[in-house]
Amino acid sequence: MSASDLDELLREHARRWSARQPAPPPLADAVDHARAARRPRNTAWLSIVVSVLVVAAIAAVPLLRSLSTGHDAAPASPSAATVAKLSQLARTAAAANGEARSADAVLTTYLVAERAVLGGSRSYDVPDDTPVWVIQIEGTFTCAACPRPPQARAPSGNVITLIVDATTFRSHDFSMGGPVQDLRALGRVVRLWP
Amino acid sequence: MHPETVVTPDLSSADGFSRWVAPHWPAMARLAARISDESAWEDVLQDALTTAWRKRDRFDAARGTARNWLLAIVADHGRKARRQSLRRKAGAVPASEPVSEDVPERDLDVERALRRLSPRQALAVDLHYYLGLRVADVAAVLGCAEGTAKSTLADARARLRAELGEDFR
Repeated sequence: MSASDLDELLREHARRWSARQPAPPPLADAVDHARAARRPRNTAWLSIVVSVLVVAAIAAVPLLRSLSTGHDAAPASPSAATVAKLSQLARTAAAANGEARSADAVLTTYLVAERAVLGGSRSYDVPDDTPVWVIQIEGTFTCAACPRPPQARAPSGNVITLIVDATTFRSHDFSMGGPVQDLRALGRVVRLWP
Repeated sequence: MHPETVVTPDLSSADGFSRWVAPHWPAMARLAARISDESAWEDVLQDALTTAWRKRDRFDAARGTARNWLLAIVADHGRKARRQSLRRKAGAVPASEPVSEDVPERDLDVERALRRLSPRQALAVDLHYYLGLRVADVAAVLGCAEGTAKSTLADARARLRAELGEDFR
């Protein structure tokens, strides 16, 4: 089958598929539901939210200090366990893609990280104020596992950037390439290795 | 200049928000229907609209069009719904594929082939062929460079040709 045959086949199929689709629900009703969707959460969970906020405010003082981008503020250092976990994540990502020279990390929020290093590609599942670690690994990398056209070369670059949740260390984003970012603009930089 | 209007109405009111979404509502519904189970697409569409309402103050016309912003949210909710659906189905006996007597056999073959694409390839195909988006807009919704969107579509077409080649020669 040629490329143009496939194009035509898909466009024909799209036309027939579209003809079978029901009309979308009324937008006005959907907007009403969208507006109402917040109300139960705001009222039924209010007491729980207040309690959680009080506890979190007490527990989060060190975290909030480290989130400050003011370099004079002397933010708290991450624990040895945190540094070890970040180092392990960086080494795993580097080992899978090439040879690394160094790795640094900085604690910030997802919104700041997204603006600084993702350039608009983001997950809408992640709230803006989620604390995240931005890990920047410098070296020589080739992403053999990245999807690409059959004859294309594997993506390569000198920087791998990971964004991981500061609480769970679950990865939110992975990118390869692009310029080396000055992480000092995001906060206090932690050298992971060498 | 992009054909979409660059004037963003006042999004603080429900009326302004509705006027802003209205031109894109059919495309949002089509995408939700493409990427979701038949029983779930209206939930995906409603959840996406709720997210768009909640986050409307974050829309930045300088960074992209309203249509692409809204479609990206629909795609995100489609992914989430698919993950939940997979979790529910994990361990269950696989169901046979639903077959509608009204759908021509040829269309069923195409749908089966489309289901063998990766989620990202399928989304690119849905946006390009079923919603008629240009490759640059596909890239904006996928959140990647235009070249990456092109290669994703090329991969998808190669896979579809392999799947459909024998039947449609």
